[in-house]
Amino acid sequence: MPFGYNGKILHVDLTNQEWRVEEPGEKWYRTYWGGSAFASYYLLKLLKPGVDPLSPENVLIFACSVVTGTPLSGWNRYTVSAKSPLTHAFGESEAAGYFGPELKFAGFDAIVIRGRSAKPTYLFIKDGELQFRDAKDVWGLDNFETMLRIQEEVGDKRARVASIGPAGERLIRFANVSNDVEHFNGRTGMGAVLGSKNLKAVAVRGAKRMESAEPEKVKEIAHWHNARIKTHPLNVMLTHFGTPGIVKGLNAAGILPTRNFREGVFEGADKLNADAYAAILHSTGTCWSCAVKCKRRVALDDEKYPLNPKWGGPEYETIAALGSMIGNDSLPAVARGNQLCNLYGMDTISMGNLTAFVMECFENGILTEKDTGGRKIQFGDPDAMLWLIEEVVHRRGIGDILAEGVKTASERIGGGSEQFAFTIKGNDLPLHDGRGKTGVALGYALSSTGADHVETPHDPGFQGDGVVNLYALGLLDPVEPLETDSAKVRFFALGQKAWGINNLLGICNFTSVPVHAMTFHNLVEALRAVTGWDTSLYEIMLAVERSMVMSRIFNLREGLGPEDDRVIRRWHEELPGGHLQGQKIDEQEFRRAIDLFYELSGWDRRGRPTFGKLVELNLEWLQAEMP
Amino acid sequence: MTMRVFVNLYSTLRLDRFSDAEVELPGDATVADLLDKLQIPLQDVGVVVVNARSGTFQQKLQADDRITLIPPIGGG
Ligand code: SF4
Repeated sequence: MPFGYNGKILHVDLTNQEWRVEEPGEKWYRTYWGGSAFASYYLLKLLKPGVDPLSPENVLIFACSVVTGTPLSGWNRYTVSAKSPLTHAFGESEAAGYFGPELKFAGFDAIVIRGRSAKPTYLFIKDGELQFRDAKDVWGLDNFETMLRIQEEVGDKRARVASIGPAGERLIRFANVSNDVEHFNGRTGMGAVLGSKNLKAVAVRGAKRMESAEPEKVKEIAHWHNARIKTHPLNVMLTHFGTPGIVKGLNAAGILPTRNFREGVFEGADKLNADAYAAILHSTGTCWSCAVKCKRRVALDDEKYPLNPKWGGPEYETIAALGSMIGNDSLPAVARGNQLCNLYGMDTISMGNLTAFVMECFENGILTEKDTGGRKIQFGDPDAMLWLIEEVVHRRGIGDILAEGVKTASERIGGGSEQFAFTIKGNDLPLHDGRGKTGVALGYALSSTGADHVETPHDPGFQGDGVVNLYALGLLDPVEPLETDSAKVRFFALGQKAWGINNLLGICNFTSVPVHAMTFHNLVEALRAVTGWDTSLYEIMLAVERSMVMSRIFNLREGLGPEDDRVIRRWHEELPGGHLQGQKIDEQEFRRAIDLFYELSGWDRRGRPTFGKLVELNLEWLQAEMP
Repeated sequence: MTMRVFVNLYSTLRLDRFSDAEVELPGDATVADLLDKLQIPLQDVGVVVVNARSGTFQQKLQADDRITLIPPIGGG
């Protein structure tokens, strides 16, 4: 009997409205472990290169890990993956909340969805069975109404619903997937893939609970972990302030992305930080079985920026994206923009980047009122941001071009707008400035999903004795946040895999190794106790690398190459002020660091994993896929 | 009874303070007491290290302990 997982993968054919169950066996589970690796496996097996991401040929995967649904704080995340309509490369985004565990309780570890339904449909999975349900009454509804209506239709208020809003239906390239309108698979446009398949939602409900091989041991570790969460600095900060708690520190450090990454200090940061948040805070929330409780709900009785506690509160990324990035110091406006994006189902990181891009084009006369039907779009004007959200979701006027994402929009707009379009592999940047954290810059450059902030170590925490949090991986030298030398590449390569553990296993970073309340030792002990496998940190790290190499090969197959492993032009220019004034990333040095990373990783000069690396990772079957 | 500990501050915690210093504390002081003495709000600290081990706010300190404090400028 498998412990921790079901041993069942649900395959859904939307075109023919058929389903079947695959039982891949213990060896498969122990090879791939979860989320992104399950997804890469099926994308590599089932998808041919060059497929249009919005065509029925694309494959859409919802995946948990072997341990999702274990009652340890943060062990609740799931992945949504497909070829990305935003980047035309590996697409993937994780979310916490309640959907992942419920999918496991419903009897499946992952869902692999193919084809396209002839008419709007949603899936309802309950206790090992699947129903295809007519979505005619929910198509067009926002995420909140969709959730309520589906719960009503299936007759179960406790069904967990992962849905798309109008943005996904209209194939906005950065549409997301929402669960509970509070947790989002935000990045790489997975919502548009659901939309292209006429798939409005996946609802899940299950009565079973996951069994561990050694339940008493799991309980013991959970007890220790939850006690440590109450006194561990970063977790105390997250519990009391949520992610908005980092606004102040980033601004003081001179790396709060401001006005399209032009600056690192925002004069209005005090109005966006955790203290200011208190004025709109309604209550706090959590995810399945998590003692951190970092989620924030907001409320405001205001005519201009009304806020509803059921539509989610902005996290750090959104505060910076819809705040400092566009020069906006109104937190209620940020929160309003966030709620609109949540209801419509659009990624706030992309929306903020897009707004900043339009604002800078306006500032430089590349876009004018003629392009917007008379609307000025200027830095510092929150109402311009709210206006753009509406134009984009309705694909009205310029919104129709912008709905294709910053990169494609800039190519269509032309006129030099490309110089203000900052994406990596076509993905918009999460709100961290690599000039103050070069490890993050390497992570942005090398992630298979394009710029990604949860696949990478944030260097400043490992300065001085801070490096103790990576001792268990054999990293003994303090990290210099601003260097791009060989020591930085060594740190990055290890740190990236440490973060990768959480991504692969569907564990929330905020509860886990290396910088939050979990230790590597107890994480491995917990994995052993859940699965009953005699596993080790070494085996897990190999699995993480396997996962990364698989998504890398997916991208190579799609035609990406070393030229795509880069950061944005602006980071090669000096920060104009603040704590890190004058700081920039030297372009040549950075390229050398990337090349060194290839070498260290067993990749060739073109960034292709060598056959020896494939052998080490038990991935010989991918040699044939290598371009 | 007082004791002496060695404190390293990083990044913006150094502003208007110091990078390395010796600090006198009551014999039964915790990390939180040290922050109090240095007038560093809890939310301004992300990483605590005591004698090359990851530490917590409630942790009791001993004479000659080496404490490193780093602000929360990670990501999420
Ligand atoms: S730390 Fe926050 S985001 Fe992560 S699982 Fe807990 S409540 Fe959810």
